[in-house]
Amino acid sequence: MRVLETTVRASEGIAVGRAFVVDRCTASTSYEKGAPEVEQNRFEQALQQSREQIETLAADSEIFAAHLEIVDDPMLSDAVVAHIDEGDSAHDAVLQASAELVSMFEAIDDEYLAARAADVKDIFARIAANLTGGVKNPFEGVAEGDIVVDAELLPSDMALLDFNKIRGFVTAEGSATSHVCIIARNLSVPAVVGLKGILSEVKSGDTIIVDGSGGRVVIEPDIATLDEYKVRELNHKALLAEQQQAAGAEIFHNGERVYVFANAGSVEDVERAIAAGADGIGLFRSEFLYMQSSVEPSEQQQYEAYLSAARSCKGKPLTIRTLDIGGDKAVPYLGFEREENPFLGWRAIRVCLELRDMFCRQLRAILRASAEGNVRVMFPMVVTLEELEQAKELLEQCKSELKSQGVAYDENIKVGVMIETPAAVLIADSLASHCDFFSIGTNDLVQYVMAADRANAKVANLYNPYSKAVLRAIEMVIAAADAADVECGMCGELASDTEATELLLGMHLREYSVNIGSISKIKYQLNNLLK
Amino acid sequence: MVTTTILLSAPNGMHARPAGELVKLAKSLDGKVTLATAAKSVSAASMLGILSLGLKSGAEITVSAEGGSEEANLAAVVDFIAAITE
Repeated sequence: MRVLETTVRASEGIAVGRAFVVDRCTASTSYEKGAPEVEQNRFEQALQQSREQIETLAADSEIFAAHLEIVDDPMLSDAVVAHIDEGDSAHDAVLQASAELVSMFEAIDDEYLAARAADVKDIFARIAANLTGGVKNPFEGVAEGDIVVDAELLPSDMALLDFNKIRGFVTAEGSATSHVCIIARNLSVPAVVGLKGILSEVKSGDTIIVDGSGGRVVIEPDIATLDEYKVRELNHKALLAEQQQAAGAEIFHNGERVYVFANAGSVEDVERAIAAGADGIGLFRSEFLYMQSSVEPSEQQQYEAYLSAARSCKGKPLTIRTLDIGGDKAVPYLGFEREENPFLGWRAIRVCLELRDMFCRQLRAILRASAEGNVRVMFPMVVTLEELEQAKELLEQCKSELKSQGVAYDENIKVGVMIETPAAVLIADSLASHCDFFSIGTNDLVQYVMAADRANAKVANLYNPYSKAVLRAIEMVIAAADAADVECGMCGELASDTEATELLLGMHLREYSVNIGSISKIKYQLNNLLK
Repeated sequence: MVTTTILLSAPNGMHARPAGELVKLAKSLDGKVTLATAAKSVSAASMLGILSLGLKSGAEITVSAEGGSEEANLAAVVDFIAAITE
């Protein structure tokens, strides 16, 4: 019996099963060029194969959904066929067409096309790989209930590996925030990643235990250990079933509704959160729109994204946080300068109140989306009442512009403030009389209250959401909100922590905006506490 | 083949949303429709093609229909382009 451990927590749960060690050696098949008709045929087959792979991937990924939209675009195949007609092999033709189209798209001043250039590159790379037989399925032979052991799992592997079929997986590389781990958590597939040395310890056919909750893998366990883990596996499954049952329920406390919202960073997240039983979105981070492109997203692009998020919420609240960027997560086109102290620098609402035109484009997009959904707007990093007043003034200005243009919006759109600085805590009473809701952002609040950088391991012991100062701050904010009859939620990590739920409920917190993976856990916890 | 030339009146030019709608329309027709500028000619069934023309408001577009009910196909595409207001 051998045990390997890591501190990374990829996806919780216990799985016991047979190891399937993935063989990544790809025999490169020799490629002999045939007549144009032969090459044309090869290309069509590879295209068809690629389309099928992308279709599988597109089911739960926006990236691949975008690929699916253009894989059949005649412009792609026309460009390849032109080269084949000139006598190139299908493989060379694909590479050349890729280079041509990508450089053409990059040269055109169009945000949509600039983004598509990357997709085109990706699609052509897939077709080229399919042509040379390079995408041999490394998961061939994986049996129902196996535990996959690999160096690393990449997003494209999701096309070939059915997570519903395997019991769990272990990888030597990778981080808990990777795409595969997010999917694993959503599907409750136990996983351990970043476990160096696993590949030299285990071979296909070994019995292994994946303890995702403890970041532990046991190879060839003895009978006692095996029995212990089998019981734990059953217990965990029973718990999951109960949690899933709790996810759909509405929760009440002393006759008041208690909401479990979700935090979302993309439209895709919103769909997943609602499907997982969220009562709405308590924090929709709008940064993804600004980070994914080399230019500021247009009002129309933002409107389309907010609208589809609002529609995905099906009438439940969608809380859009306006742009929250600064020196630490800068976007190139906004001209950020290096700062000594980005967390105390030019960021979030401070940037927006200066770059007013950009801010108004976002506000207008949010307002337009509010016509067709339960949309709320929330300002980050507020430290003075003047900032809130200025932001609200701009919002009113955008409303009257839209009104004069005859564009629909929600006249009574709710306005909220992120409470994430000590200053906001101390003036919470004044802020409350000028807004409709609060959301306590504990991640930043803890760092500012405790003056401890959350990324600095040396002060990690001070970065503690349970410290007396932080808990008092939270209590003050909720009390100020209650006094002014303003809704108060929490969207930091603390809201997702089941050990904090009882305490927060006692402080009269009514809205918990949590990670998507924690929705059912927090609902279950609330249900248990309120039984 | 039938051909006509029109000016793009859409205030924001031909951006992704109307282009996507146009592709859907072109695919539903029983013949081929192409859009051309002085620089090049693309299939109206190609989203990437249409956008690669970089059509700004006021651009001159030559629309051609070949095969099937050419007149009707041409009219459908021309009417669609003329009706883009966003």
